[in-house]
Amino acid sequence: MAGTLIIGASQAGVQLASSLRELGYTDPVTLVGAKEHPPYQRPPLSKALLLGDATPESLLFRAPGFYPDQGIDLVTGERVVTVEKAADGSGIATSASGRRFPFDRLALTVGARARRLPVPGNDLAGVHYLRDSGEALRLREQLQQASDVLVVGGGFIGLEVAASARTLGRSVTVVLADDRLMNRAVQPPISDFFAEAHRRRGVDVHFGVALSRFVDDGAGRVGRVELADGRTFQADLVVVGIGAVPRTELAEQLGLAVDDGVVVDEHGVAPDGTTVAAGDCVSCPSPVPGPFGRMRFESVSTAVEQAKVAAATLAGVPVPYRAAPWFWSDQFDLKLQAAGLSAVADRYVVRGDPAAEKFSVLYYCDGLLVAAECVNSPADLMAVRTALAKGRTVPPELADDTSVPLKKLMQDVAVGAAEDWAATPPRRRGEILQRAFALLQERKDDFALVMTREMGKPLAEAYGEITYGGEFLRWFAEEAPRISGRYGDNPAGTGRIVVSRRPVGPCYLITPWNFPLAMATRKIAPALAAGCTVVVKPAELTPLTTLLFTALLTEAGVPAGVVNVVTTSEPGPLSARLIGDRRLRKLSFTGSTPVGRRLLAQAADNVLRTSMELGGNAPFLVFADADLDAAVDGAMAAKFRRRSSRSTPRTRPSPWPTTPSTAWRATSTPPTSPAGTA
Amino acid sequence: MIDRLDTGMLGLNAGVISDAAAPFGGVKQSGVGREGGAEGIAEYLATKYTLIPR
Repeated sequence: MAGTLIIGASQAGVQLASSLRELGYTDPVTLVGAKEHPPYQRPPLSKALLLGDATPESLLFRAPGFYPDQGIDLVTGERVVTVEKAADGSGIATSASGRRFPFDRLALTVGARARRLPVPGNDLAGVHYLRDSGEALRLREQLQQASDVLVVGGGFIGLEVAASARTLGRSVTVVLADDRLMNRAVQPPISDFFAEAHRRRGVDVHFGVALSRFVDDGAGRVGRVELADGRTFQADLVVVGIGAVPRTELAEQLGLAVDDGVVVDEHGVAPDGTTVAAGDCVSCPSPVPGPFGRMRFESVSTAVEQAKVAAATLAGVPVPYRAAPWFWSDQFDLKLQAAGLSAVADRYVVRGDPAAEKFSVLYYCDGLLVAAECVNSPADLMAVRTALAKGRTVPPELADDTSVPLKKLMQDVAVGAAEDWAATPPRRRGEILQRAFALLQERKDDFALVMTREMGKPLAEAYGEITYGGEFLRWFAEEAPRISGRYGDNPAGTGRIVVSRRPVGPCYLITPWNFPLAMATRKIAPALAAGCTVVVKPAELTPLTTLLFTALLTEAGVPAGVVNVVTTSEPGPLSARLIGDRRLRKLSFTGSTPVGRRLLAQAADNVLRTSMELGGNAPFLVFADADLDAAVDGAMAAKFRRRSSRSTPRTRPSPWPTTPSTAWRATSTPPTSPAGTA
Repeated sequence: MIDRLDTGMLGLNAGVISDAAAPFGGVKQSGVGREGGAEGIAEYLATKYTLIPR
C-alpha cells in the first residue's frame, strides 16, 4: 500500500499530513519537499528574519521528531518533476534526481513562486526576490551593506521588506504600478492609511510607476532604476515583490483544469475526482457566500483550512470549505489584520481613530457585516472572525462606538428575524395567516390569472388550486395556537418530564412549478404557524405566483425578514449555498426523487431536518368487481385533468390481479370498487 | 387490504384526496415527512425535553 503522497512541504502540506493523522488515517503518508531543510513558516521571512530577530531554525513548523512520531515520511531535497496517474487515483511521481514515489492518492500543496519582473537588468546582482528562506538570508546579508533600497511592488511582501529595511536605517523607496497599496487584499481606507503611515516613517512611496530597466553600476551590480517616464532612482539593493504565480506544472501534466491555480471543488478535489490540492496553488469556490467566482488565496489561514478540507476528503469524512479567510501583515509597529472578503462591500464604517494608528474598518454588504480590516485592534479582529463564522453582524449605526467592545455589539441578524418571529405569540401568528387566507380569497382573480399565464393550467384549475392552497393558510392558522407538549412524572418518581416544542429555525423551501401557489402555502403556512422563518425558492419557470403570494403575506402582517424569496434560473449552486449555510435548520422540497436524493446528501452536511415530497408511482387499482365506468371517470379526472404534471398522477393504471401476485398479496375478498390516491 | 398496501396515502373509491387537514406524503423513495394536518406543523417543530427534579 502506497498511501497518500503530498507534494510540497509547505504550510498546506504539513497541515494536510498532520490532519490526516488526526482524522485517524492509517495508510502511509509521504510528504515531499524540494528544499533541503524541513518545512518552515514563511511569514517571518520578510519581518523577523530580515531584522535578525529569528533564525531559520526557529521558523520550523515542527521539531524533527514530529514526522516519524506521526508516521509521516518526510522527504526533503527532492523536487518532483513528473507525475503519472491512473484513473483510480494511484500513480507514481518522479523527482529530478530520479527517485520514484508511488501513491494511492495524490495531494498537491506545491504553492506559488514569485512573479518575475520582465525588464532589462533584472538579473543584475542586487536584484532580489523573496519567497524562501535562502532568498531571505541572502537579502538579510545584503541589507547590512545597502544604503538605498528600492522596493518594487506595494503588496504585503514589498511593504514588509520596506518596513524592515527602514527599521534597519536604510533609505527606502517603494514604487508600484497600482494607484494604491495592497490593492488585491484590502480596500482604499486601509491602503491610504498605510501609504501615509509609511511616509511618516520615512519611506518614499510612488504610485502608478512603470519600470523601464535596472542599470548596472559598472561592476555587474544594480546601481539605479530607470522609470518609463524618464525618472531615475538610486538603488544599490532592489527587492521585487509583485505577487506570486501558482505552481501548476504537475497539475497540467495530469491534465487537470488550471485557472490561475489548480481547479478544485469545495472539498479540495480536482475534476479528475481523486487528486486533492490545497494552499496557494489552488483555485477554489469562494468559501463565503457572495457574488464571487473562483478564488485563489495566498495566506496561512486559507492554506491551513484548505489542507484540513483536503485531508478530510482523503480520510473519507468530507467537509466543505467554508471558513472565512483571514490574514495579517506586520509593518513597523502596525499590525494589520483582516478577515472576510471586503471586495463585495457596498458600505464601510470606521471604528476608532486612524490618527492614533489604532482603528478598524468594518465592511458591509446589504446591511450585513462581510469583512473587517483592523490596525492594531486584535480584539476587533477576533470579534469579526467569530461573527463571520457564526453568521453574526454588527448594526452599522452602532459599529463606530468604541466605548463598547465589538464582541458585545454582535447580533445574529439573520436569526434575529427568526427569534422575533418565534417569540411572536402563536395566536398572533395564526391571525396573520387568517388574514392572508382572507386576502387570498379577495384576490383570487389576480392569482388565478397570474398562475394561468405563468404555467399554463386552465383558469378553472387555477381557481381550484387557490381553494386548495388557501386551505393550508386556514388550517395552519388554526393549528398555530394548538402547539403543545406534554408533562409527566419519570418512572423513578424523582423528577418531572416536560416535553415542549419550539420552532426548528430558519427553513429553506423548494417548490415545484406544477402547483405554484399550493405547494408554497403547504410549506410556508406550517412553517409560519410553528414560528419559523423561511427562504422560498420557487421553480425557475414559475416565480411570479410565489412573488405575488409573499407580497400578500407582507400585507397580511408577516414582518420583514420572515418570508424571503430567492429566484434563479440556476437552482443547483444557489441551493447548495443555502443548504450549506450553518444558520439553516430545515430543508423542505417537492420535486423528483433524483433531485431529492441529491438535496438530502447536501443536507447531511449540516444535519438538517428534511421533508421530501418526491416522485414515484401512484398505482391505480381496479378490482375484478369494479364499476368500470366509475373507474374510468376517476382515472381520467386524476390523470388527465390538466394534461400536465401532478404530484400523484395514476402512472400505472393496472387491473388488480384476480389471482394475487406474490408482490401484492391481496386479501381473497378484495374491496369492490376503483381506488386511487390523489 | 388497506393494511397490506405499502403506500403513504390511499384513496378508497376516491381519485382526489389532497386536503389541508390530512398528512400528504409518500413512502420509501417517494419521500420523507408529511405536509398538511397536525403532522404538517410537526415537521417545523423541534422537541425539547426538560427534567425537573422533585
